[in-house]
Amino acid sequence: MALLEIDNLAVDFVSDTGRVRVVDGVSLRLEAGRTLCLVGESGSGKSVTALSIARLLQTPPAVYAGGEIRLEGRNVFTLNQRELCAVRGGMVGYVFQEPAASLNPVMRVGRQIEESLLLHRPGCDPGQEVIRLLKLCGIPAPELRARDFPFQLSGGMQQRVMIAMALAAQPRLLVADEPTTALDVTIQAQILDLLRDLQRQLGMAILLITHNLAIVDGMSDDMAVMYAGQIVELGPTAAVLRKPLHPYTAALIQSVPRLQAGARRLTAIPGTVPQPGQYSAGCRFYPRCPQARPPCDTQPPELREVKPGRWVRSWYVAGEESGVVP
Amino acid sequence: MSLLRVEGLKVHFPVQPGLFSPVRFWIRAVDGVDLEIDSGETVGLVGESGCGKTTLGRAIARLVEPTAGHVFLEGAEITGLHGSALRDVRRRFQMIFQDPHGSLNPRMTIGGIVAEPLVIHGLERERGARDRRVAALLESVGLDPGSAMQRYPHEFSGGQRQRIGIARALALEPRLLVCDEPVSALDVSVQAQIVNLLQDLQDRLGISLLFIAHDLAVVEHISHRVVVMYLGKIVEVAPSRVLVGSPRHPYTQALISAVPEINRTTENRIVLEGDVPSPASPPSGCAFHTRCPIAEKGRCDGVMPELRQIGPGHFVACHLAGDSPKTIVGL
Repeated sequence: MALLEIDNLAVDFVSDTGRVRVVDGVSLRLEAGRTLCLVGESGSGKSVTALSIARLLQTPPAVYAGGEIRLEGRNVFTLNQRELCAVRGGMVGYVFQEPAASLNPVMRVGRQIEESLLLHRPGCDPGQEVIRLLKLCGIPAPELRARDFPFQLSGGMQQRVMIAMALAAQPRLLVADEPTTALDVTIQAQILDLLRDLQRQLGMAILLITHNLAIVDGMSDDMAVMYAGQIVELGPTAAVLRKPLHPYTAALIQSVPRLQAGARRLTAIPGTVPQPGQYSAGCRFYPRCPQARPPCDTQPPELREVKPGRWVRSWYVAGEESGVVP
Repeated sequence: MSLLRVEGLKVHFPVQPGLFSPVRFWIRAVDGVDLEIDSGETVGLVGESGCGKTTLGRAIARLVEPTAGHVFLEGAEITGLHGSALRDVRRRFQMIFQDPHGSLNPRMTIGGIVAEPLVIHGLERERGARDRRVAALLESVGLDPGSAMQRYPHEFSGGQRQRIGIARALALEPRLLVCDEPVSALDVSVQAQIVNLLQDLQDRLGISLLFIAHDLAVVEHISHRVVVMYLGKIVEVAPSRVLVGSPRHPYTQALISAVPEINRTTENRIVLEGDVPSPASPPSGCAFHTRCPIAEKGRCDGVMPELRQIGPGHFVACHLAGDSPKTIVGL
């Protein structure tokens, strides 16, 4: 039994104009102590998937329309309010993109970490534990910083506080949703190193959500690429990045500018990411796909295992004879 | 003769606790910058947030008033110009902004947005000619004028909105485009489209670009020369291939090594400790010495290094670059 199992998750959003499906049939497995990266462009459904794990989406407008999410075998959709509280910030810790927006601006950061300790670990000495957590997250002079308000800390330090807070309840799973997107590259490198170190020390599983393909490498064991609410490719990170099988993954890797690449032009993917509810009838990537061919425009492809451990949702798979599988 | 010449530019912002209280201290956002841009050239400007790169771009475009220094456009000084003289010179430099959401008026049609600079500057007064001009501009940035002109910004995606912003900036046929993080709000797959568009426009129109961004890979790709800033000062300038291939300033080296890349191991990576110090009280001597892995006591913390030439077009402001083989790692 894996720590986290998502089976065929479907999430809809309801608005005045109707109901649209933003996550459509997502299935994932994450074993204890492993790291899985969820990669995709804006609107691909990666954050909605991540928030669903602890049922953090507001309903309505969100509607959990189908599927199951199991944490250590227990379906989170059947948990009652008290059990959910133990999961939220307890068994599953979250770190979000904007630390400044996630921290309470009028509360000292030490107190904010204590809140989680009082709720999830009533037995411990909160004062001591706050200092230990801040130190664990690489904050210098933790005794002094614990008395700071969020605005007195830099963005990198605020993110370290967020991580300390997420770790307070000793979670089995840390969900990091674009944890370094708002930070400078030098600070991003520090935070990614910290996450790697913490995982080595504490052995928790990490679900890392990012749009940046470059940070996936070296951070994760497995990766899932999402497009328009669906997983389009899933496999071991190194294999997917070295030899992408889905045309979208390949095009996305191509379009990342690299240092010293020397090319005069970047390879762009034509068109734009489709809005939920405005997908083409066949494959959702069909209108932008360089490999598009007849069955693609009318028949949606299924996610299938094309090689051991490599899952692809495409009629055309790089390397298969003629590419098209009937 | 260079198109744009910046000499000793400083922008200091006063910090006052209250509206009428005395100035408590000054934030030195830009602190003595010299820079030249040739016509048809793209100069990239990189640095961490708070290093002053946006303020420098805005000071060049006269959107903030410089505290000291001079900006010359085609040989004529533009600092100190006001009123109609400033408006005339503004036609020759235009700006593209980061957030294509916030920089387009949501209540104007695309046709109106792109025509606005023409109206303000009293060009193409006749309606039909103006519409034809706007259509040609939209076409040049890859939008279909027939369907776009009557629609509103919210009907377009981020990448398309950025194209509209570029069309508006081009309306006055500027010589220089100041692009402030033009692609950082866009998805990767769309980012490449906009970078390619800017390069095509430059090839066709011969305009110069000041390309401000924090993403070194994009900057290296689009720029002929790259300028690296730290705490309001230029620390290194070099042709982009030289800067990325053999950076000499320890800060540039750390910045390049921190860029995450596919298929690059994270061993040997230089991870800088700590954060950028406050520009209100920059460290003594070399502003980078507090985070520098090779700083020498007594020298780096005492004397401010000047920008000096160490190769063709390659300038660096570091006491230790060049005269010692003490570069931190082979990149």
